[in-house]
Amino acid sequence: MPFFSQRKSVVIRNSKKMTESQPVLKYLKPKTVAIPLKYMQSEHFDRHVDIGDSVKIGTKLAAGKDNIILFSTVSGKVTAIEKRDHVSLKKADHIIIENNFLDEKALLIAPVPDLKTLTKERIGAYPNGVLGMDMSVFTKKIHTVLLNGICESYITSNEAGMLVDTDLLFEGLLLLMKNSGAEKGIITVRKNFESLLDVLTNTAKKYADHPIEIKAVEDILPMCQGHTPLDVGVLTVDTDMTIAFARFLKTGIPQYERIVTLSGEGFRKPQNVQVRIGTLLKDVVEAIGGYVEGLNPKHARLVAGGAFRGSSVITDDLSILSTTNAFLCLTDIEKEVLPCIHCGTCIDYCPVGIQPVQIAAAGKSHELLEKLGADRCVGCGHCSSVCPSFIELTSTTTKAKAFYLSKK
Amino acid sequence: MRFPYKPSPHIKANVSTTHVLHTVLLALLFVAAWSIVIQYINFGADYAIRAVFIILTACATAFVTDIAFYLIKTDGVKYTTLGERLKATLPKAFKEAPLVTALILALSLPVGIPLYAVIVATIFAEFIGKLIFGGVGSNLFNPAAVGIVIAGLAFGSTIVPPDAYAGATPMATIASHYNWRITEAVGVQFICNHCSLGHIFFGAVRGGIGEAARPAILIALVFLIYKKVIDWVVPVVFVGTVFVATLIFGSYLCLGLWYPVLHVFSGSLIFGAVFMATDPVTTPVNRQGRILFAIFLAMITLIIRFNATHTEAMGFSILIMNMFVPFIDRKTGNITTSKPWAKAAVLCIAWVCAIGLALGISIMLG
Ligand code: SF4
Ligand code: SF4
Repeated sequence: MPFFSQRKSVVIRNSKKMTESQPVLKYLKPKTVAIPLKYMQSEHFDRHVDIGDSVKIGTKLAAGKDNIILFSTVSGKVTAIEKRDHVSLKKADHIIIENNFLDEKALLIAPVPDLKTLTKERIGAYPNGVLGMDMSVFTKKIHTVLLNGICESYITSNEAGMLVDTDLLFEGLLLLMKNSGAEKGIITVRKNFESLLDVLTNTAKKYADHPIEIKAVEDILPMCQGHTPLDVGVLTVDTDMTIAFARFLKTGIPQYERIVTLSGEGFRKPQNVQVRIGTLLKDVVEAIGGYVEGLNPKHARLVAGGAFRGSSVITDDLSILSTTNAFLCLTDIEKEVLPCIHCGTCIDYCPVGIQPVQIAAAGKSHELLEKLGADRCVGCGHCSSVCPSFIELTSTTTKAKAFYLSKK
Repeated sequence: MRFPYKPSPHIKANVSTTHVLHTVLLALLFVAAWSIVIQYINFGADYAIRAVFIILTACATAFVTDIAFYLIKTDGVKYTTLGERLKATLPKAFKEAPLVTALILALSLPVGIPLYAVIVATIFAEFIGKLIFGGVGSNLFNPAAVGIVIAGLAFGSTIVPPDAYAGATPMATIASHYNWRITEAVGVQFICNHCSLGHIFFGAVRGGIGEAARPAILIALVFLIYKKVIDWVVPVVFVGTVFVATLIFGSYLCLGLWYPVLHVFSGSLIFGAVFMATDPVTTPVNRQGRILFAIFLAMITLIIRFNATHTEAMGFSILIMNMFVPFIDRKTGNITTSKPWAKAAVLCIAWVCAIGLALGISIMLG
């Protein structure tokens, strides 16, 4: 009942305006790329190449558990294998490849020019790691595939991707529907970005014989509250992933480029940039004109991802991964922490309906944390972002959750 | 380029606590200005000047108390000169919101109170009510309520009654002579002789400086709700509960609808509902808790009104309810009992019990 837990949504402040209408800059000829021997949580990889080896786009560099395969994203020569800073803040081994700018390609699978001919069995036969998503286990019956085109604050790279690869987006969606047995496909985009809405609506006419719906929604977080989409038979997929997946099947080469948003008040010209995966962030920053004059990094933050859930990184000497959709350079956010005045704002905005202020006050009392439901925190960051006393509630609640779970 | 590590999220609120306090302060200043004008119109320049002096005295005292406190409590920092020490103290003193406390307190005091009583009450409010708990945010009791109760207990007899009424203000008459158990005849006579309900609403009756400014308080209420500074359910539930309970009590005494209306618009009930019962620091943190707080606050206010000779029920009942806030918070934070229907059921039961208790106790003792 909204009366008791007001469950307000965080309105994403006009942060997307900075980049949404800028053209996408192509930065596709990096001198070198650095591919980390690390993918999401996996760190154990068998390296398939050595220093001096020649590689092409799509050449297998290393393979890890669960069929995760790492590829080269340029053609050229492996020049070094070294420990470098990684987005995860831990150093990781990176394979450094010098680009020979020939863009030779190595096919990993046989290309399927017409994706309509693919059957469910053939999609299922591809190893999961290759597709970048697990296509086999759905515990519940899926009736709808939802491509979520609403991204976090500041980030417009997914929208730029949809504008460029609209057809691939639809083809990917049809494949996902075919594979999961869903009867319906939905693409959500934000209401206040009309040009994208127009493009999608027009393209949807081409696919009029398929049950695909384009939904314009408010630009707010979170989009759903209280239950996970899979529980109600909805498979939610990221639009970037859908496009990458369709392109891979079509061309036979795994994703080697992506669009990344560089935004925030700290960049001189915030914009979307199309890059080879593994390109160094500092090179791209230079290409868009660098940081604003007189930027004092001590009072700024560099964030990989959106302002709510992205993680702060300590250097710009990082390689851009297939999973990073944005880097933000934010200034003017440090504020002096004031005492908590029990206003309850954090409670009103918590999407899972727990009480951040009380969890923060509960300290290490296991019993209290249990009563307060500390383990439900999803780390969304809403509580910190609305607290008028600027208290870092999210760090406290996520720590309390970890403490609670460790003592269970 | 290297950057510092900071925890997520990387976005902060665009309103701050300071901003919230300033909004409340603005509302209070408006009420204060209105009250002074009302005093002038109804009782003349003497009273208006007295009111101004009381308000200024309270503000100055609160501020000086804060400064003195932080001059002594330096947290181990050494200052070479007194000037330096004073400079470091000022922002800390400002942060304690001394003016908010002082204004709420001053506006609750009767215009006949001597200035030294104002000073003592304000020092108690700031120091006992706020500073020794660790400053604003950590205080258990509403500081203004502490001051009001001290003023009432220690200086109640020193209050110089306004000349037109020997002995007491009209509210005090009803409260202390009759404990609100008036008959239709007395009530009608009271209303005819002294004032009408309209007079009471528009402040032609002598009482606390600020409580006379009821239209201003209601405007301030709308303003604060619009600015999302206070939760509207607290004043609404509180006043609603008082109304319903006194309506029942009124029919028990065979009185008309004017009786609950008189209750609602008399004393500092409205003022307290808007400015004291909504103070976030000393009230529960979530909505269910706040509603419970408002319901039981109404209950205690009524029990005091019906049974004690004291005019000022609001200050006491706020302090009593403040003690239960940690308990209410803990109980309403429990997610295992957080089904909306369960919450609604708890509130309904609490509401019926509170009204029942308030009336039951009053009738038994009466
Ligand atoms: S971070 Fe956790 S506690 Fe804070 S709003 Fe999100 S879910 Fe609630
Ligand atoms: S939002 Fe901040 S100030 Fe308000 S209750 Fe939560 S922690 Fe306290």
